[in-house]
Amino acid sequence: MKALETRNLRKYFGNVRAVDGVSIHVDQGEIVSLVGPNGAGKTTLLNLISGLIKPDSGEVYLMGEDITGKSPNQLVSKGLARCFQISNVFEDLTVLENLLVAIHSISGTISMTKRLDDSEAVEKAMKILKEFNLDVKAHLTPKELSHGDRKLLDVAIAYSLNPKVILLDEPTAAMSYREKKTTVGVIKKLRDQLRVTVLLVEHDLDVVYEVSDRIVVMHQGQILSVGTPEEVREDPKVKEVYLG
Amino acid sequence: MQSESEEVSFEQIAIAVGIILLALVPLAGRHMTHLVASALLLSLAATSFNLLFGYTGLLSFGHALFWGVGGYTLAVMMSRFGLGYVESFVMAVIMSAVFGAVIGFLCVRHTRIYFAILTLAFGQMFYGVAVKWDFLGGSDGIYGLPRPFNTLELYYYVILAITLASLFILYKITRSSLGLSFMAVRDNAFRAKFIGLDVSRVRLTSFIISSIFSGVAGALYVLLETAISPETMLWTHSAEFVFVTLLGGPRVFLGPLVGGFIYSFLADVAMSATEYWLLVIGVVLVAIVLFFPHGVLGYFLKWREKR
Amino acid sequence: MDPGLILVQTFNGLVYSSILFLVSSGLTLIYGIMRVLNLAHGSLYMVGAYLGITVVLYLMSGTPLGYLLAFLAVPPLTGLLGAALERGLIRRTYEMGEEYQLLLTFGLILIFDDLVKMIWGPAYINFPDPNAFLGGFRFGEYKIPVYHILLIALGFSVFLVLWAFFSKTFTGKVMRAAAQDSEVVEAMGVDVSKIFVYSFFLGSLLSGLGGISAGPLYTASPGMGTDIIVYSFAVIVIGGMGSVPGALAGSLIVGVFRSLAIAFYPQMEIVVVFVIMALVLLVKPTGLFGAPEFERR
Repeated sequence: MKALETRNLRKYFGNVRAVDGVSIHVDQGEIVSLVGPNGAGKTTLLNLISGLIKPDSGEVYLMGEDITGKSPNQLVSKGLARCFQISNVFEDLTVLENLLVAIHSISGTISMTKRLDDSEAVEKAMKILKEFNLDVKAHLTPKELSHGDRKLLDVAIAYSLNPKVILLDEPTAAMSYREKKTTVGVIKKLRDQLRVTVLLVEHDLDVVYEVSDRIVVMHQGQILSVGTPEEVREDPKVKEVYLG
Repeated sequence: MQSESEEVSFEQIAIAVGIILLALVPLAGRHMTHLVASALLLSLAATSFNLLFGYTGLLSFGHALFWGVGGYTLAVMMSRFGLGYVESFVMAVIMSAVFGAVIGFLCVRHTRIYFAILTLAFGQMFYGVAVKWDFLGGSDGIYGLPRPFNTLELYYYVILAITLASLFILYKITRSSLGLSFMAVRDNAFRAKFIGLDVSRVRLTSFIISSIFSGVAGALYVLLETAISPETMLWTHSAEFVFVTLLGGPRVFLGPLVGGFIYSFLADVAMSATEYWLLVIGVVLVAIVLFFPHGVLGYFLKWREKR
Repeated sequence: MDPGLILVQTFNGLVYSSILFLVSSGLTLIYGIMRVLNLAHGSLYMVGAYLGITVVLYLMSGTPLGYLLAFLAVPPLTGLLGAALERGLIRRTYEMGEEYQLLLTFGLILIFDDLVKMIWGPAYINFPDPNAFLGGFRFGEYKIPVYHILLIALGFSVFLVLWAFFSKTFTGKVMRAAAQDSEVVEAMGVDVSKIFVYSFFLGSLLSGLGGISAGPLYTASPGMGTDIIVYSFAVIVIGGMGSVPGALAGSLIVGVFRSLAIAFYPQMEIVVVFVIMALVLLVKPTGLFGAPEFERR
């Protein structure tokens, strides 16, 4: 089953064809990576899918349902979560509270009579933090976290929304080797243990080859090549774009 | 962990001592009773303002409008429609909520300076209504209202009780999941959308709650003064809420309360010392912004943390 | 309604528009370039009026030469005062968030209001009537004073000068570029902090010019600064914050409607301005000439 699909998606900024007729899909339980040189349109595509910007034409489907033009907060309740290139968290809340607000939001328990540290929500949050090795840092604020942990927190927030599909925008950007290894583990864990479908935008091709089931290569707003890591690695068109 | 439990007990002791002192205030004479009653109401208004500012990240420069709505509703209900205290007070609360909803709806689509200037403008608009509309008493306002129980001392306890109850409710809200959603929107409205929050709705909810308790303070104040004038809605009064909050510390729940008392006593002293007391307040304000931007309570907590 | 009265009130409205424009163009200019909203901008208007009365009445005892001198000398003085405030105080809040900016400049209002009372006294001070030597025209049963006509001309001239300055001169273009992206401008080797001082000088000069212009119409009084600043807020919200043409449009709308309200529905004098503002916001939240605002990430 296709968890996520775009059909002929198009977005121009003036003369720039940022996304130019892109049709891709991600099957349930898959990790699909979106790669391509800077300016290929990867982040614009993510922004179109997650409802941050509206496409000029084309559609987006989530679990078979047309979600084109829905706002980000509506998409969250439909099961689509995303993370950001520059870690984007709630700076003055603790790590635990960062998750709690997401959990309250998705469970519809935002109310003035519901304690923010409601035991059920805290239990759920701590369980997720443990999955991401952040449980010992639950009472720190994001400012006190390392760069790698901040990005992990960003992913943990998205995961705490019970998503069917997660969009990850360069989760390993500016990470050390060790942090990258941890993150690769977390991405695999999302698929293998937590049963989430992942669409990944990533620059580091080592990471991409290691985690992806399939790879989509974009170039100048269009799809250049799609296939398994092996197929894409051998595709002469891809070599040309990356090397020539 | 250990220091945290100590902190709680310290706060509890401080609050208990504070409440006992407040209960004893009428022994200190009429001037002091009146002064503390005004300080309590200013503090309540500032705390409710701070729900919007410190907790939700929206700086309203027109919050005295809701103080005025609460006050004028109470005064009109009593003097024009002959309602009793309780009914008039309930009407004041309802009207504050209605005004909060309508004006909030128009304002929360904007943030930062735009929001500040809009709230300020709406405050001035209703100041204009009150000054020019005879039904509201024009520039004289409405005066000669009877005070409940006829004595300042007993009415003081009404104010004390309602203020403490309101502060308790506001505190509970800041510790609720709703309060957490306010803070999330404050910290990062962009990300808040991506955890499924309807940011405008969150802001509007905060705005309405904040308006209600500002209205409560305004309504109680009318009976303390037995009068209301349009000046209570001027933006200079709104700025007082902002000032008091920053004076005490916007990131601490009781900051506006501490600020409200410091300000009220400072103004009382300055007013009896010089006719240019606003100059004194202005200089203090500038000094606070430049040298103590975290507020008195903010610095106190930091200092205690260091020890 | 008497059509003659409508015409005369529209004319009076244009006079008020002109003064509103002088003040609000300065306010919007500073906001547009620096994203600083100076609440004490109205205080500079007040100081302009009081310096004006000092020159006109106390130094030159009401002679036409006194008026000329006041119009030439006072605006640069308020400009310098504004620049000094920026350098000395307001600059220190740029890193702190706008609530501190608003609060600091609000503190300045309180200080200026009381200082003016201390120096010039709390009572209203009347300017000697400039039409005593300027004269006026008859228009049916109404009299149109020459001073009013000159004020309208002044407002439009200032608009033209500002427009030419920002679109034709190098300094003006750099200031506009700084409004877009101060880092890029800095990388071009321009001292951005200088641009900030210039903006404050220019903005405050305009406010002072508004003050000296308004003095002979409305007298000088300690509360005049807060009165005008609130209307100026409405003007720049209607026109779009940061836009000088927007300030012109906003001033014309506010000035004329307020003036008509005074003549026909006096109880609506203040309300009408903010009703218009609310309507504009509903239809176009960024104001008539405003660029979309961006939510911080």
